[in-house]
Amino acid sequence: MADTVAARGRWGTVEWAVDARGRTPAREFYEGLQPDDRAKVDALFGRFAETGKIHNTEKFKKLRAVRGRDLYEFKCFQLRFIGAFAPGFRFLVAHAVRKKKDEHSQADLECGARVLNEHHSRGMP
Amino acid sequence: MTTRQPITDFEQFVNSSEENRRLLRQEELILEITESISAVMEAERITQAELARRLGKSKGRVSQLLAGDRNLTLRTISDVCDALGCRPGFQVKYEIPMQHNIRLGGALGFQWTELGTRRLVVHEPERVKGISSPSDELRIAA
Repeated sequence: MADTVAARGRWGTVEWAVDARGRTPAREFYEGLQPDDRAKVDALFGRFAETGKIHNTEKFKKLRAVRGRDLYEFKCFQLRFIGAFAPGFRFLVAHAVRKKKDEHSQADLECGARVLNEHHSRGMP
Repeated sequence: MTTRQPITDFEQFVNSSEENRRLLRQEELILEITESISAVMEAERITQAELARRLGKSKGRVSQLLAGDRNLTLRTISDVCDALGCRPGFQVKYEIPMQHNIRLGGALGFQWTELGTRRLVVHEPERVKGISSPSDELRIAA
């Protein structure tokens, strides 16, 4: 599991969800970021792993439920990371996208929910 | 025997270079400030629109500030806190190796916080006579 933990803290962990092909699409997006953007994302994930919450709705907010899953997003300006809480003080990041509009397309939400389902279908917690 | 946990992407980034560590610390500070402000707004049930009204700014401007944009100056932070009925504070935390920290904690009543597995953050205690810098602290402890 060495490759799936984005940040670890006193609350728990922020982890990358693994899809049916064994890939971590959100992490692949993250790895393609420039250092200044990566620092923004890491600061956010690090704080979340420490506290288990982000008060600022400009940085973290609940999205609508898709396929029975409550989805949430981390926001760093145009960078959006979609995921969901998982048992054991974990947050799984499933999908990431760079977008200008505030609202997500249904396709982005479906993609996030699909990767989360695939992650759990692999028998991963 | 304890099992060493795999390194996280966060740890990998912070240890990758001085420049990356500096970038991360900048973002952590911005997040610390916007989170503190957001926590007060949440506790007092103050909306962005209400804060905008109190500041005489647009809601869009408040949204930008809370997103941590480049114009989040010390003066702006002070104005936002004043509008919320608060006063901002500032705290510098020393990062020193764990073994020194524990000795200092035991000897001088410092508080410490574990940060990952390699670093501890020491919160500056109430002023102790004769101590004015981290190096002074180390000399006194030795």
